[in-house]
Amino acid sequence: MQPLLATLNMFLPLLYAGVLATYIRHFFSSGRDDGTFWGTYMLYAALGLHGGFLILRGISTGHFPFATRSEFVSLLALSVGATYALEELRHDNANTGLFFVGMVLLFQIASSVWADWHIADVPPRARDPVYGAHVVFTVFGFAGLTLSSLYALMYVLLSRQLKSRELGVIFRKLPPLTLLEKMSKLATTSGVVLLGLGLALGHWVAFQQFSTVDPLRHPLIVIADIAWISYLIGLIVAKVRGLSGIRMGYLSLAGYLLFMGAMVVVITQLEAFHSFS
Amino acid sequence: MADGPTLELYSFSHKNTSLETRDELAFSDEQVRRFLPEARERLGGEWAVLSTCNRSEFYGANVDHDETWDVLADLIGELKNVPEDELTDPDAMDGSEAAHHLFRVAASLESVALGENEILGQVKHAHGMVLESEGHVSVLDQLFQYAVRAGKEVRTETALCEGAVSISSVAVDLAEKIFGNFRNREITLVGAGETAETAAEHFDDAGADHFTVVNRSRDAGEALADRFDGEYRSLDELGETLVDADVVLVATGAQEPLITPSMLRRAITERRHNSIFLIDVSNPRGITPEAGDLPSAYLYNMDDLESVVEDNLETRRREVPRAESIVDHFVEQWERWMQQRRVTPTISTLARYFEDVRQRELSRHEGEHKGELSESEISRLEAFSKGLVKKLLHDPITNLRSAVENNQLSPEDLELVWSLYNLREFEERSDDR
Repeated sequence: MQPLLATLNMFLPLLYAGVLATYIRHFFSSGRDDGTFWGTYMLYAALGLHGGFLILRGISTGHFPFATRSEFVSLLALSVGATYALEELRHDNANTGLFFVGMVLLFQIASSVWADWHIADVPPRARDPVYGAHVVFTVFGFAGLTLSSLYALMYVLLSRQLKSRELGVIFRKLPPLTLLEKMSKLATTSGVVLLGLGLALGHWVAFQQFSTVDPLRHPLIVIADIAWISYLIGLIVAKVRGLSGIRMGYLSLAGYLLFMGAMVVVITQLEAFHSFS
Repeated sequence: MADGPTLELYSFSHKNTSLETRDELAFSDEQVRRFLPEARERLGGEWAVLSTCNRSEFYGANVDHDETWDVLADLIGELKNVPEDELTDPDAMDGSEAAHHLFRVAASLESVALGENEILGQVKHAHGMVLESEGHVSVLDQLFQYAVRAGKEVRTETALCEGAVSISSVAVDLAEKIFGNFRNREITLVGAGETAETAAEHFDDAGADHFTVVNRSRDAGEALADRFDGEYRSLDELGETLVDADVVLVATGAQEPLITPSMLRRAITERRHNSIFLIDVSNPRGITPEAGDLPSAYLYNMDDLESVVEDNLETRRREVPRAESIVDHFVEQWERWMQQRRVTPTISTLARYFEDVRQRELSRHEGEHKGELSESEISRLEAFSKGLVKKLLHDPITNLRSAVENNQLSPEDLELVWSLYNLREFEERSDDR
C-alpha cells in the first residue's frame, strides 16, 4: 500500500494546484463566462481523493491519521477544503474559492514535504475512536471558524470600498455583501457546532481517562472553551439583537485573531498540544 | 473561377448619418424579410441587413454587379421611402475591411456607448435573418459566425463590457453589490418625477418587485406607485418607510434634506442593523451627507455616481487594445477561410482537368490500338493512368492547401495555376459540353 500512498502524497498537491488554477481563472473572468465551472467538480474529486488517502493512511498505519505533523496538517487541509466546498454548494458562488483552495494547497504541500513513512512511536490515544472523533470534529470546527474570519475580512474590505467610493478589484470580483455575510454566518455556525462537539468529546475522553476535572484546567483547553463560549454568545446576540455587518465582521476577525494568538502562545510555551500523562 | 468569394458592405451609422436619417433607415424584421430576396433577385449573391438604432448596414457576398450601390439605393428607397439624396454617402468597404468592421461592431468597439452589450444580440439576430432567407448563404453565414464568436470572446476575455456606464445602471450595480439580487428587497423612491421613474425602470428591469413611492403630491406618487405595482406613502411616513427599505432613492427638489442622520439611525436600529443603500440624486441634497457615516448605511450622491461612471468608462477604454487584437485574430481566421474557399474551386477544376486529359488520352490510345488490347490490358492501363494522375496531382494539391493554412497563398498564385493549365478555357468547354 505504501507505493500507492507515496504516489497520492505527491499527486495531491499537484491536483490542488490544478484546482487552484481553475479558481484563479474563474475569479478573473467571473461575470464574463457563463459556461459550466469545472473547478467545483475538480475540487470535489480532489477532496474525495484526499479523504481516501487519509483513510488508507489510517488503515496502513493502524491509527487515526493525525498522529504526525504531516497527517495533522493534511487533515487540516481537508477540513478547510471540505468546509469551503459546503459553502460553495450552499451559496452557489465560486468567487472566493481561490483564497481557500490556495490555503488547502499550502497545507497539503507542507504535509507532503513533512510526510514520514516510518512512524516509530504513535501515542495510544491515536487508536481510540472517541479521541479520533474529538480531533476530527475539533479540526473541522477550527476550519469553519477560519473560513468565517476570512469571509468577515472580505466583508470588511468590500464594505470599506463601498463606503470610500473607491471601487477596485475587490468590488468587481467579490460576491455581494449580503452573501459574504451569509457565508460568514454559515461558517461560524458550522464551526461552533463542530468545535462544540469536538470539545465535548475531548472533555469526556479526559474525564474517562483521569476521573477528575483537573486536565480540563490545561490552558489550551481553557482558551478553546472560552473561545467557543464567546462565539456562541456572539451568534446569539447577532440573532436576537442584530448587529451591523461591518461590526460583525470586525468582531469575527478580532475574535479569531485573539483565539489563534492565544493558542499559538500556549502551544509554543508548552511545546505540545496537550499531554495529561 | 479563381477570384473566389467576395464581400462588400454599405454602412450608415452615427459616424456618417444624422439621427433622422438613421431613424428613416431602421429596418423592421418584416422589411428585412422583404429586402433580402429582392436584393438577391436584383443583384445576385447573398445579402444581410444589420439594423439597430445607431446603424443600418447592408452586407453582400459574391455580388457580381457593376453598380451595386445604385441598385441597392433604389431598393432601399422603395422599401423605406427615404429620399434618394439622403442615400448617397454610405461608408463602403469590401473584403477583409468589411469583415473587420462587422467584427468590431459585434465586439461593441463601434458602438456609441463603448462596450454596450445589446449589439451582440442584434448581430445574432441579423445572422438568424440571413439563415432564414432562401438560397445559398454560406459566405455570410460564416462571416456572422465569426462575428458572433469575436463578440463573445471580447466579452469573455476582456473587461470591455464590464461596469455600468449610466447613472441609473451604476445605482443598480451598486445595489446588487450590496444585496446580490432584488428578490424581496424593498425599493423606496422619494419623489415621483422623471428621475425617480427612470431609476424605478432600471430596478424593475433588474428584477425588483417591491416598490414604495414617498411623495409630497399624492396624485403623482400614486401614479408612479401604480406603474410598478407599488405602494404610496406620504412624506410624513418617510421615517417608518426607512425601517423596511433596502434601497432608497431620493430625487426631489426639496430645499432641506429629507433624510437626516438621526432619522436614519432610528430606522437602522429598528431594522436590526441590516444594510441600507441610499442614493441621493436631488439638487440640493436630499440626504444629509453625515448619514453615510452610519455603519449600515451606504450613501451615494450624484457626484459619486458620475465618478463611478467615468471610472468604468476609463476601464473600458483601457481594454480597447486587447479587444482589437481579438478582432484582428478573427479577421485572420476569416481571411484563411476565404482563402480556402478560393482554393477549393481551383483544386476541383484542376482534378477534373487532369481526369479529362487522362480519359481523352486513354480513349485515343485504345482507338489507335483497336482490337490489339485485351480486357485485362485495358483495365491495367486504366489503373495505371489513374495512379499516375493521382501521383501528379498529389504535391500541387498538398502545397496549395498548406499555402492556405500558412496564409502564404496570394490571388496571383492561384491565377498562375489557372493560366498554366488554361483552366478557364477548360471550364468553358466543359460548360458547352
